[in-house]
Amino acid sequence: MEILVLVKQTKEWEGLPAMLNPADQNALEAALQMKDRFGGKLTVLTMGPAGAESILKECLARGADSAVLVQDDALAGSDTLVTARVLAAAAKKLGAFDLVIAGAQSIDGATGQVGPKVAALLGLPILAYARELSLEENILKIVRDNNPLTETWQTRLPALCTVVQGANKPRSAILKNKLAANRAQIPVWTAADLGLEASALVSPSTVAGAWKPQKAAVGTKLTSVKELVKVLMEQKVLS
Amino acid sequence: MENFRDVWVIAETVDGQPRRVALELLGLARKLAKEKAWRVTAVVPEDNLEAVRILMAYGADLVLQVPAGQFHADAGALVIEGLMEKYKPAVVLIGSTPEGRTLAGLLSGKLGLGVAADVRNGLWNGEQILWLRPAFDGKAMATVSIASLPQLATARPGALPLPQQQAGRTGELRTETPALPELRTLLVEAMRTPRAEDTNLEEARIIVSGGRGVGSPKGFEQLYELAAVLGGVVGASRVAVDEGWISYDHQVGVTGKTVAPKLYIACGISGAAPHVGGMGNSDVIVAINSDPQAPIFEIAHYGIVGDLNQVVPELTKELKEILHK
Repeated sequence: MEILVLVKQTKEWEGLPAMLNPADQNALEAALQMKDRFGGKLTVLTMGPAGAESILKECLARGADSAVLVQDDALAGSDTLVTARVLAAAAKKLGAFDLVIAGAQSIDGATGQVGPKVAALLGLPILAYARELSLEENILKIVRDNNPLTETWQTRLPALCTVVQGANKPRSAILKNKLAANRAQIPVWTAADLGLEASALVSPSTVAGAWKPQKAAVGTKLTSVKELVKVLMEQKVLS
Repeated sequence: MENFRDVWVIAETVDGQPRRVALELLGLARKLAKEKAWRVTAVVPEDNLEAVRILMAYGADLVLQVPAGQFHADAGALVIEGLMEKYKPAVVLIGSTPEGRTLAGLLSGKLGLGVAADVRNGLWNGEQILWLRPAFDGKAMATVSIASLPQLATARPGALPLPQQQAGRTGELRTETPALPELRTLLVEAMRTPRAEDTNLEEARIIVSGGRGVGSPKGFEQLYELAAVLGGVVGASRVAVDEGWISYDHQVGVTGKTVAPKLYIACGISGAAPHVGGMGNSDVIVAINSDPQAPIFEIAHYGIVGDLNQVVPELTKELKEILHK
């Protein structure tokens, strides 16, 4: 079977280094388990800066067969819709896939938007927020949490699935694969290579400004539990 | 805004009743609609009148009912797309739940619409709406504007205040029965998760959270007790989870859950950035830590420097008396 895994390198942020998004690691692991069982080819795809090549090499080291990086200065600062258009265009250029799989959300952003946007653009049914997946005779089944319910959903391939962080234990890379991955030449595509109209690359969302919100003043030190209880009642946060 | 008008809320339901986030969205919808003398419409996949009554009581002028089971993912996107084409709403608000985020994403991808995701507010600025949402670092708020129509926006449970309900308030009810093509996706079963409330941190109004200072699984028992008295849920930092003192379902932070309760009590949590990134938007943050230099005190509204093993039980005892529990 042909599997495509969409991955993202998260931004470096105060003590947390840039990394392969945790939920995408779980998505990759789910895809590798499918490949182990059914055979076939697993491709990983990301849109990112030049440094994002490192997460693709990590995926190759864990068992992905090939990787593509879409990298273009014109795409810096793209919102999730443009990102999805780019990923969908790259996916189409790569060929038809039985299963497209991605992390449900990223730790920087966490809006859960790219997966469903790509599904809509590729015309694939979507099963989102899976914490368990199984495939039998072309039927993909997932279990997901939809508080207070646990739901089991299924669809027929080809389909897109998003996987939640913690769904499985991602395998480590073995040394032999790491060495091969480090030597791999990963193709880099630009926006022009994808044949997207310039208008498709314009984000409909604009960040107009940022500011520190006015909040209750921080840093009030209290010296007793009684004081704390009093303050909590004043703040009306108890029940 | 040309011929687009009215503010919609896509009301996700559970057990036949609107989810709380739908009611919170109705509050924002009313606020936005009022300024333009528009109506508020709730779209709901239920055919029970109680759900309709609740939606109207919380602010819906018009309720559009679609058949149950037509809300999820692909079916939901087709249904809502059809209704949007028919009615041309100016603004569509969706709860940022797994189902809602998926629906918003599908509509966005299909119709080429931008989404203001996880907003905390929306304000009119002339003919435009400025959506307020946390900036990616969690420390600041950003204003986002979207160039496409209708405006799509999502809000997390608890991010918006619950509006007042008006018990006798009524509105118009219409049933829509969109014809759908045969779809490949099917809900096989839905079961109640046991102890679901224990780890529903994303929707919790009060969280009592423990970190390295808690020290052991037994140490968490006092936090569970405090949470029970407050009607809250127990959370944890990554350290506590990694040490095996509590399960990953309770983890708060960028590699765990993002929460926005009205009260977050951080017990023995140092306050490293990845943890704060997951709870920094809590309305009131209380920190209890024996280390006066702990970074948590820089973002906590109220802090007590002390041993949580003394402070937490004392707080529980005081609250039991006051809350008559």
